[in-house]
Amino acid sequence: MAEIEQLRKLLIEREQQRLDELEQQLNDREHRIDSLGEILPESLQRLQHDRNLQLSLRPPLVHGIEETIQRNPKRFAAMFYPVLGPAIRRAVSEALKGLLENINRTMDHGFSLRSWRWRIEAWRAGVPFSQIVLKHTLAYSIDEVFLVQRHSGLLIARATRDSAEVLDRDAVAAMLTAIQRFMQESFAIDDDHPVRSLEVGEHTLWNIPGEHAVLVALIQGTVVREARHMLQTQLESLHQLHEQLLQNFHTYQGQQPVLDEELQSCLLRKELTVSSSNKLKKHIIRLCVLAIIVLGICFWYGWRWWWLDIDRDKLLQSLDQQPGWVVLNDTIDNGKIAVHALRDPLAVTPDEILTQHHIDAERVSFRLENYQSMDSQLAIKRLADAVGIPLSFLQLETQAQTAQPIDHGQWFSVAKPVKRSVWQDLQVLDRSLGLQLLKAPNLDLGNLSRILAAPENVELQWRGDVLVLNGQVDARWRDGLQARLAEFGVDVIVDDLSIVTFEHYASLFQQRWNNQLLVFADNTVLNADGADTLALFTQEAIALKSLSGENVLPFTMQISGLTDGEFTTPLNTGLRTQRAQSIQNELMAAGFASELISIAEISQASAEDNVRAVRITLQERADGNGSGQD
Amino acid sequence: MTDPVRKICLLGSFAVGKTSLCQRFVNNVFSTNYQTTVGVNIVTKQVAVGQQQLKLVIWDIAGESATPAVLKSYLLGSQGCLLIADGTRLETLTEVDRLHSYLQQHNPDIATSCLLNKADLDEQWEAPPEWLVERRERGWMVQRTSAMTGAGVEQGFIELASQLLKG
Ligand SMILES: Nc1nc2c(ncn2[C@@H]2O[C@H](COP(=O)(O)OP(=O)(O)OP(=O)(O)O)[C@@H](O)[C@H]2O)c(=O)[nH]1
Ligand SMILES: [Mg+2]
Repeated sequence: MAEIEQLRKLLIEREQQRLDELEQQLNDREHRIDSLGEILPESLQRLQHDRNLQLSLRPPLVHGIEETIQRNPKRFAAMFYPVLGPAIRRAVSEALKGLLENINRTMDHGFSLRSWRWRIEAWRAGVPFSQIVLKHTLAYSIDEVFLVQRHSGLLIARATRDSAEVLDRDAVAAMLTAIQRFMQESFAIDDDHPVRSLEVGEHTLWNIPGEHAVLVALIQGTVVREARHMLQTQLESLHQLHEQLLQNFHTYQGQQPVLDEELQSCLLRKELTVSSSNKLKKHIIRLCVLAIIVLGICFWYGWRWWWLDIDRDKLLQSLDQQPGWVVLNDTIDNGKIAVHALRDPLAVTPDEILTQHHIDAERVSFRLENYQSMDSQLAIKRLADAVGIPLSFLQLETQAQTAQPIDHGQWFSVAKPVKRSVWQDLQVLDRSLGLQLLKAPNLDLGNLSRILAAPENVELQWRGDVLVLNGQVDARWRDGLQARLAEFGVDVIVDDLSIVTFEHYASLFQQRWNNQLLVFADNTVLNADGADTLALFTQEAIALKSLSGENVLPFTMQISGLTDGEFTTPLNTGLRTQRAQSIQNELMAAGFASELISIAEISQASAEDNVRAVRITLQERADGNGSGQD
Repeated sequence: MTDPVRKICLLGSFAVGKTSLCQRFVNNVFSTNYQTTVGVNIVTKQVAVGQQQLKLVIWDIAGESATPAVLKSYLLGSQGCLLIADGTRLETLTEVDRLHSYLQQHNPDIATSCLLNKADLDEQWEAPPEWLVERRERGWMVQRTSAMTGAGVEQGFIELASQLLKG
């Protein structure tokens, strides 16, 4: 046995030893952990697609994670925080962006007519207003789609609503890519954050990146986020179907498949759902516009007619009160007031009436026939016309009397004298009017004064049947007196003896004052008598002057200085001159012109004038009434 | 099924004539009036290389914007590059060298071709003949062009286009 044992030992000792070692290894837990750890990563990696492994790993993993979260949620929160933060932010900003777009649009429509329609719609449907806005702002149209290879910018496919080929589509696709590159470089944006959208005129460009290709959509209107999602899905399916093509397009050999057809489904469009009711609304709007126009026209004509009516009332009322107007008929015809009337030629003219009432002459037509009015005002006017008296005078005098039945006799008494030559006409008129007229003018003094055109300072008086005139007048008036009375048919006896004419007065003056001496008390001072005389002379000369009508004295005054004793002595010669000058000065001071007062030459004084005095000599002026301003 | 489309870029210092070459090639026009390009200007042209039709989308990039970051972004998806120098200004040749080595290093798949522009300006010509010879010996495609006369322009672009179809 021992030999066998020995033999076995000799034969299999090394194997035995290894078996022992193996057994020991198998039993050694630590060792097993180590060796399994060596191969586990590799085997897991190899089996990563193995369905069984996945299934068996899932429950313990899930369970473990669950338990850990339950036990220590903070730790997981800390772990996920860096991931969740950006993810949440992104989700929120996406949602906000959509919301903002809608809010902006709502604000745009905030005060428009449409917004009110929508409000009513929301109220009737019992849904929130925002929902209605959303419903209406969903309209959009994706007009054109490019499928562009991401890196090369080469155009793989394109679909468009508008079949007309306007641009070089390859260049456009490349440009879109280049623009994006340009922006990314300019703003240092990395490739993971491509430009998502661009505003190009009225269009929005959407850029939807895929792994190998980019979908660029040209959009009109407002697109909802879902549309982007749909495009994204479409792009993904294109990637799945044509991965090789999209990836290797820039080196693709030979003929390439055309994907244009497949892109057609990307040309999404959403119509406004209100099209049918829109038509109705358009009709209603058209009807409204029409109604407004018709109403406007009606209003215009009504307005015009109304004004015309007001004008007509005004006109007729005024014509009614107008003497010499009788309206027979009035109509409104063709936008004009037509008046058929009788009119006295002396009555106010139609134009005067129209301007007085601010009525447009264009809007009134007159058909007038002449007649003679019995109205007292017009009768007076006619009378005045006939007898040649200014109407202004008559009107002034008669206005107060129009209220009473007019007494032409009385009127005549205040009227200006009427020439005898028109008496016949007056009587004819008188008959036609059936009015009484005095056969002769009233002979009260006022009237006579008027008839005679008597100057102010003439006084009229009755002495029995005799008209006495008293005062100072010029001769011409006195001479014309009888002719004037005769002309106006006034038959009275006139006593004009008390009338003093200027000429008469002047001659009386001359008689009285020519060669008047003014005596001096001593060398150059008048004595009391002399002074009184000078004062009286001056007074009467002034009175005469004022009578003359032209205020001119009809005489020149020559003043001679006189002395007693030997007149040739130098002393006396000087005295004479002094005395004459002193009187001249006084007269000039009284207001007589210097050229009317002269001093006589010494030689003219005669020897018998042996008195201390001056002499005034009056001479009629050579030029008669003279032009000298005195 | 449509014809293949390729994006190519025009690079080079400012005022070397990138925009002028594009205009000559695409619209067959030329203007002496210099308006610097802002950012990038994109034109397209349908070309035939042999029997094959090809549409070129040409990115004419502003001379000023050739900083590495910008360059990298504009070169994305590009299959070919025309490096343009102005034969009358030596420093623009240096810039072409710089761009060439940049492309070799960062975008070796992009086909390149070099155009020495303004060939009509003999008097001011500064580019030494050796420069051209050396580059050709290294396997570059180098072409003298004049946007003004149109000489070499069509060939320059077509040559690059044929490289694109081979690649
Ligand atoms: N004589 C001549 N002038 C040229 C030629 N090509 C361009 N030019 C002139 O060079 C100037 C610059 O031309 P552009 O084509 O605008 O230059 P660019 O490279 O596009 O310049 P940037 O856009 O600023 O980078 C213009 O005045 C052109 O008329 C050429 O072949 N010959
Ligand atoms: Mg340019």
